Amino acid sequence: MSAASYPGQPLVEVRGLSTCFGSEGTGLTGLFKPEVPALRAVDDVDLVVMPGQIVGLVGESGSGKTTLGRTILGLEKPAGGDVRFAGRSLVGLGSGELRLLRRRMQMIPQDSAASLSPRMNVSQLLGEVYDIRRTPKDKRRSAAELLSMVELGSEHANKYPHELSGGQAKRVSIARALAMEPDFIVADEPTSGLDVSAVAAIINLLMRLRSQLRISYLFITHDLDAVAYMADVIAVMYLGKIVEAGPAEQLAEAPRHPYTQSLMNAVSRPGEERRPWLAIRGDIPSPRFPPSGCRFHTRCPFAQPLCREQEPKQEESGPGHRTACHFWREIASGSHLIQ
Amino acid sequence: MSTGGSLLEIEDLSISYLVDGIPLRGLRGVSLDLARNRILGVVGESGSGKSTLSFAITRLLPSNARIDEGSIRFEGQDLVKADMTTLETLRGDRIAMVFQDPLSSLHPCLTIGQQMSDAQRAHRRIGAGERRARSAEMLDTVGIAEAEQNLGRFPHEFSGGMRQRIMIAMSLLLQPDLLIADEPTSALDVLLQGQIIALLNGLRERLGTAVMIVSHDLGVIGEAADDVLVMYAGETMEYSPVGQIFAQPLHPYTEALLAVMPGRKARGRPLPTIPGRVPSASETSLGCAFAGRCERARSVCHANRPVYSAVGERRVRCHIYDPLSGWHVAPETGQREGAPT
Repeated sequence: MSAASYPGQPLVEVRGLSTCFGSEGTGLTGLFKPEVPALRAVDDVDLVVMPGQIVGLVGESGSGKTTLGRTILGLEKPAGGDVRFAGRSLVGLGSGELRLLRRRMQMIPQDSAASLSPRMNVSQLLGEVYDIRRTPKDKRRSAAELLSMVELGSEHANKYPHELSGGQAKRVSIARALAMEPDFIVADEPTSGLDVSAVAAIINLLMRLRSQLRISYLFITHDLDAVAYMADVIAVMYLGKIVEAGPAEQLAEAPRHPYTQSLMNAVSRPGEERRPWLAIRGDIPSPRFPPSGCRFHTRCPFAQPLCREQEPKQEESGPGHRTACHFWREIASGSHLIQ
Repeated sequence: MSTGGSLLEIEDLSISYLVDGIPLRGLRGVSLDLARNRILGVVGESGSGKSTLSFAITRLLPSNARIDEGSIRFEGQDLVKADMTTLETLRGDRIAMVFQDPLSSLHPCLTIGQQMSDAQRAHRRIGAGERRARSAEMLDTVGIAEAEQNLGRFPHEFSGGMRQRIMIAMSLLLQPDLLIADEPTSALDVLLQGQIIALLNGLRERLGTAVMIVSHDLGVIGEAADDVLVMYAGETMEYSPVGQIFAQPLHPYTEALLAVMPGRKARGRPLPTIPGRVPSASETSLGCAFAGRCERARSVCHANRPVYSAVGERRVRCHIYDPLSGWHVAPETGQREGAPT
């Protein structure tokens, strides 16, 4: 596998990446310059995915997770920064080269049922991937082979999407992503909307594929338990910024950023008490008008005047663990309690 | 179980869907009681009949659905026999419903204020000014700030969590006695889920509304509900107060659901799953609907349908809890086994 030819090198390396929607990218000036400021859905993000690694990306709806995933794959144009895949920068790459490289980077879309054409059966849906890439016939995996990789029987090949359950449709989506033998998959909420039993089965499947095929994932989710179980590294996103990132177990056990703490605290597990002071109030602010200073200060239970004025830098808060909070030390030691 | 204070009493309700003239299973002998001021959580996998049950109560079932037998008593009145006029006065007024997808339940071309006003006008004779004031007050109750201003906005201008809260506000405008919430949190992230649960709990306390929450998320049910009804393949498998069901599930299906529930799981080991799948609506079995996936199933489970029997204040549909079922006669030895605890 080509990923293995870069030992110790990141498979995906994102540096200072920003994605804008609206005016900034339009290039319009003067009279035609739009009055509404651009929406920076992804703002100066650094992220590294090593070969075979699972990076979990969590955050509320509207935090920019999906946009980051799409920008990494080149499905959105970055407004700034760089994405490197296997050592090569994707920014400024010619469309032909980009197409070749992109075969190795695939996406499992969020709404699997909707992403499958209702007029094609499973076998056609799997073949379509090769048709689009104009793959020669002898280099194609058969539908039966792809289906068995995702633990579906070959009898599903003739079924249409409406005949599939949510879990089965998700498996077909995964099979479509596997067709091009990718090194890297962006899995966008692969478990949302599925039954509890199907969620566990899909997670088991993704983990098995990772160890068998050494695929790296960017696993976008708001299922914090799933991410704590699956991921090697967790990155927490808030209003376009990564506010905390670190080794999964460490981050799940001892989150440093008050936002991460609140997210972890909000998971409902019967029989476990929540800590009421960590309940976040209100809604996520509009990313078009992000708050000044630390973007989380409007909802943070520990916010100080400094947080309103100055944006916190990412600091080393443990081995391989970065936190963007002015007061993470005080919060961790408990000396800095709620006002 | 059955107390005089029940607001909603469903007895032995069976529903089938006619597809090409063939009846497919919707519900099979469902019974439940819901008192005022209580929150009932209904859980089960897709295809378990949860949504059929909620649509049956509001009599909003699709046209190919047929109520085969049973009764749905709301304050003593049987909704199965009720005529359209009665149903229309009850729906939206005394019985309100919040659906899974707030965006498709709100009219995209009308402002929130217009929609909230219409909901009141359909059932009450109140002036426009008062309707608007009530709408604003209800938006405030569900935690939407600048209510007056927001009434003039359209659904697409709100986030998913806000839309779901607007739906709840709308359903509560006329202070219904019963609120049915079908997967109210499943499209929302954890922070919003927590907000919606807190909101439903607060409303129950303030207004005495009885709430039925339908969800496949046991975490949400565990936090929000007083009592839990576990459904499988159109049947009720277990009914129990929430604390007991998590501490000591009776039905093997409940046990399996709890085992696969997301939660902190040890890394590096595959997650437990429930093998097999929910039987499709066209599959009928003589025995227990769960027998094909049940680790403890014996021959009697495949042959006879278990009864929904009382175990203390709980109820369970499983041969294990029926001493007369023949389950306890172990197939190999013919010796009787003690009922598991």
